Amino acid sequence: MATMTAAPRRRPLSHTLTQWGVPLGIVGAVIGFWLGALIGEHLVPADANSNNSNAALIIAYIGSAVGFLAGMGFFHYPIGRLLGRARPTEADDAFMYGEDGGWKRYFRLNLDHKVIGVQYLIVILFFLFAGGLGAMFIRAELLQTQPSFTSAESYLEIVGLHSVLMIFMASAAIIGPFGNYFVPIMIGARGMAFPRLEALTFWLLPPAALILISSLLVGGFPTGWTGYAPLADEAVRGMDAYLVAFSLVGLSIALSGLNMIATVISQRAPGLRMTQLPLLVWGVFVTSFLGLLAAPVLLVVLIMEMIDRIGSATFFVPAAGGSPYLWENLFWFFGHPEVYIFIIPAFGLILEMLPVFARKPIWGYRVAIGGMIGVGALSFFVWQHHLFVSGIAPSLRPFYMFSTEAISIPTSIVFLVAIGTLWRCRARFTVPMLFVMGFMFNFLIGGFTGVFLSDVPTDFTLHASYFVQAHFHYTIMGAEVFALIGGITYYLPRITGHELNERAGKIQFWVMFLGFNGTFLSLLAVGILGMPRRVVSYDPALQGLNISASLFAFVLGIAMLAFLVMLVVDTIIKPRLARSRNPWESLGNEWRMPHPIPVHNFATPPTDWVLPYDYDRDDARPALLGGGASFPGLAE
Amino acid sequence: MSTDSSLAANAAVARPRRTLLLGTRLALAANTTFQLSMIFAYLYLRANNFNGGWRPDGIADLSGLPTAIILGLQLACLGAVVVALGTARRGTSARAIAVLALLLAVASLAVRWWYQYHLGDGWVINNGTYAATSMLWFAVLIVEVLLGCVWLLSIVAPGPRAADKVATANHLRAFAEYWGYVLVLSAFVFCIVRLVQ
Repeated sequence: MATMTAAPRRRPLSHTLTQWGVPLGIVGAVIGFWLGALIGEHLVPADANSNNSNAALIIAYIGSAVGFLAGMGFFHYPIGRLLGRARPTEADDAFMYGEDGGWKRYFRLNLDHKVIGVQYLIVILFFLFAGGLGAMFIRAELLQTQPSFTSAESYLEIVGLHSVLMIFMASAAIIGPFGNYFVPIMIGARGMAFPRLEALTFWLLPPAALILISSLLVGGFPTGWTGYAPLADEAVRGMDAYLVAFSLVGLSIALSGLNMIATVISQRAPGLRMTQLPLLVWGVFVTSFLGLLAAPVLLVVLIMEMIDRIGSATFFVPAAGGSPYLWENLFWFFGHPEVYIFIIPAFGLILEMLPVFARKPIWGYRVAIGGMIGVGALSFFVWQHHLFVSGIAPSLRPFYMFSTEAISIPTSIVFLVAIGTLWRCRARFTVPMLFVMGFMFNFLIGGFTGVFLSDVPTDFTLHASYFVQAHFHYTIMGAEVFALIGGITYYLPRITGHELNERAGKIQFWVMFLGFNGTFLSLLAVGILGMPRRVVSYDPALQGLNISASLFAFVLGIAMLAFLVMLVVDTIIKPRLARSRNPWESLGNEWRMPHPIPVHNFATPPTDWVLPYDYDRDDARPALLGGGASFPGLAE
Repeated sequence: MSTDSSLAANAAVARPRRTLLLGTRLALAANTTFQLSMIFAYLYLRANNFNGGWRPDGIADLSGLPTAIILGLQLACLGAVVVALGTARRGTSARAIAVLALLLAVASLAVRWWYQYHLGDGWVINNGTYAATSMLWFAVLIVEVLLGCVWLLSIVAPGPRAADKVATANHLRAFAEYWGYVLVLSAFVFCIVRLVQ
């Protein structure tokens, strides 16, 4: 029988351009920067009332971000809609979801949530290691009591860059890679509610990073991550980079929150109730409300600061009717929920991993959800504790002290669930489990030291000292980053089919744990002894503790580097195949999928759901794929 | 796990509409915290009047006429969208009415744009915090109206998509909610800036 072969469809221009991905994005960014600078110079007159050079730089940065997105191909679809073009065909979808596979799909606009999860992971690790490099620089400098190889100004630039890069990293560390990759699978969805929006939330981050790093070329910014006015009003042009980069990240956080909430509510498989969702999904879901509602406040305050710097408006200049308190209030109304944006998904991830290695059902599933919701809700009512020493009305202090201390109650509930799950368990101390335990230990110290800072009298003594810095690092580095690395080791076999070396992983964990605690216990002590943060010169009496902190920090740096090497060697250079498709014998539905997971996950939505935590049942065996158990509803 | 094809099929039909409406409402929720921040900034700076910087002499009162025209055009646009929605739901083409709504939306944008540069004497961004906060707020509203115009343009754009009446009705429904929100917000902002000086 003769077969007819259709003439190959000519590849649309939009596909060809999108295929170029990052290189074309960079070209777009350069053109956008140039055009933005041109517009900025002409739009804002160079007179005494406005700052023409700030305007040019801010608009150039915005132009570069828009140009980057245009080069990546983000405008093909909306322009096509406006021009009334036909809906995307199956071939268009196959292209946009990268069904042809290959490594290039990770470097271009791709709508597959799993690809976006991996893209997030790569960028998050970049932020972590670039920010970590800054930390190594800071600790090397603080080996001496006086500036040794840098000036005070340069030191502040590095501190600022380190802090903001790490904040960017922490904002998406869990929700970015694991939320995007696993939430649709865990809820039985074929993808996210708004796939293009999902891609946009990711692709806003690389230009944000480049813009932020470029601040070093124009003098850096002296404010640290909090960007306090009126210092920000007076700062050199590097401040403009901070404002635009943070705006892009704020936009990304808000849009990501919107998309995650819409996905969990509207894309769940039929029959899957909210009370059947895995705890990682709940952690992401609760956090998404925080991002959706808090990030717009950040955008307002950043836009105001940009206008202050461009047009000499005076939102934050007291001499002309503005107020730095306005910045502090708005910034911290975002900033405090922001720290829970970091940690609540980590709670979800930790509670997701814990039953797998405790081989017990989660103790108090609904209690854990209540705890996460409680933390999220209370996080909107605590921001003024950051203003205790700024001269807020004394009558407000007791309320904010109480509300801040009250947040330890739902946090403790989450902890209680973890401890209850561990109680009389038959734990398997694999590498991910070690990181779970490390998370609990570190977060306990982070949370405990936070109670002191919520207390007004103690806060007056410890404010702006290394105690605050160490507390913050215990919660973010000690908890969230430990959860991130635990999550990577746990989910790596699922994502790549490869596994990290168990023995090397355990050594890496203990070195990291030792290095981390050595560093920040020293810094807690330095803070109690009164050393202020963000200074390059300090009392010689504190040098011993600073040397201790620095040496342990180098150990921590080596451990992090070792992790990176392991990751590259065991997945790329000499891939270590996973022992099985489900090496941890998890009951999670995400582990029951074939490898690789089909692009659209499921052909039809699965309907029969159970909580994946029944580890105490004798017949509870993971449905190992390839072992005979089928998984109805899978895409072909 | 098993699948139920009829349940799944029903869900597949209802899902795009639900998702679009949900996404719109979530965007409006985010917009609300954005606007609450603006309200906070406005009232905070006004209440404290730092260094006498709130409302220096020489700033003209806002004229009601351009605002009335803007709000009238926005209201007319909303009315046209509601009629278009009803038409689309009945299965007939709503394109002509939607195009009218678009024209009204663009007209309101044009008047807004003009008014931003003709607010009156003393209305410059660096003339105290009253003028700065109000002008920023008006600029935000311009952006909101512009986004609405682009959205409406995408609904009325000719081509194969326009023939999909279900999708058109879904978008008109979501757009009506968005535009209603912007209309109420516009009236609210004008009242605050005009009355709480």
